[in-house]
Amino acid sequence: MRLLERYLKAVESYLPVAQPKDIIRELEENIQAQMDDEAARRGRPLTEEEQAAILKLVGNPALVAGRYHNSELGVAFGRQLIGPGLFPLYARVLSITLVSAAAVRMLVGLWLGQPPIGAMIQGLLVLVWPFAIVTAVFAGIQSVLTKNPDLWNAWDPMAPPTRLSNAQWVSRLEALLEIGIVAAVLLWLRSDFMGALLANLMRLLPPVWPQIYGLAVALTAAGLAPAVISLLWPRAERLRLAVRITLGLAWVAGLSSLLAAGDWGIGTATAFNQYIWYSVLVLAVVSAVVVVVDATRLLRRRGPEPRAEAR
Amino acid sequence: MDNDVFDNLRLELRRGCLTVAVLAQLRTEQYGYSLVKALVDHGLDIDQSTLYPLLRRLENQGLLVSEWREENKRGKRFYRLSEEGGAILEHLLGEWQALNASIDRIVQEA
Repeated sequence: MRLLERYLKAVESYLPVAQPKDIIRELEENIQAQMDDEAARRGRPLTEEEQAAILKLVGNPALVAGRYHNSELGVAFGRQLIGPGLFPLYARVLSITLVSAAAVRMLVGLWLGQPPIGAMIQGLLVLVWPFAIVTAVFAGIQSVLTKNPDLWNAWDPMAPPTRLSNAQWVSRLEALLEIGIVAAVLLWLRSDFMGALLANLMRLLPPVWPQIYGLAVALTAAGLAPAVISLLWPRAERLRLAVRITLGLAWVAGLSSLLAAGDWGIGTATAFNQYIWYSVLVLAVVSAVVVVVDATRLLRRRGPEPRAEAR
Repeated sequence: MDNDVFDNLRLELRRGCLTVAVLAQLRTEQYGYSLVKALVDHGLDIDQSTLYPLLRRLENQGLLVSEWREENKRGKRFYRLSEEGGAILEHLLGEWQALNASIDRIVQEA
């Protein structure tokens, strides 16, 4: 695949949902015109190194795509904490985190017998911590990027693609984000509020739940391993896949044991217990499918780990 | 000199100026890369990653119009100033000249 095509695919993977094809087509024509211009000036076709130099001038794919997002959004308290370049990723991670946290808190509230409105209010109040943690993680990353703007340029257009080639090479920035998010989730689970809530809950629940909770926390912590591998050995995809498969199997086993446990329900809330049972079943099936997909990808990757492509 | 402070102030100063420059340059139709070259030829360096999204934003605001057309056997998206963009540019240029004159007077007095 040509360098330009690879570059455009990387940009496209970060683009807003609306009009990505049109944006990519226009970007392609502009960059191609610049390359043609440079080739005409030199009187010969450009080498890959010269093409890469032009792509470096255009900019980091994530940064270029970020600037196409609607307006120059950012987060500022006095000074800017998260700039427009990082904001799209921040917004995506924050929305997923907040929705998940609110849903969990509302379910717990309903489970404890709170009226729906009260559970909803509690669900919204509990969002403060995930918001603060995710914002702090991204503000930290932004601070590093602001002090070292060259980090945006610390990418090599000639390196193997980062996003759309089945993750042969996962960017270190993504790995850092993943580690930050998992760490934030673990810190949240270890917070005084969650600790007290869970301790009270566990007293009400059959013994299988504390076991499953312990397993879930351990597996979430172990979920850092693939991110650490991506950070230290970005091209070691087979190792990363093997670890992901192992973790996926552990999730399937844990969820299956929860399903198989005869006595896991809460009191007489039959409908709610059924809802939880089916939710756990769906989670187990999704985990199993992910394991199968990862295993298929691992089997397809024979031979040595991919290296940087020949120049 | 604190480089961070200077960089931030320079960025703020350039942001509005670049928009005026782009609008003014697009009184003549251009596509993205030819606009970059035209601005550079006039001494105004601009990142492509800043310019291309800026063109789309200005078009969304109704200040520019664009169309895909073939040139040298390649499709290109050409931009030009819209009627509304022309009117706004005139106001902006008036504002720019007034500001420029005021600053000149302040600097000369200082």
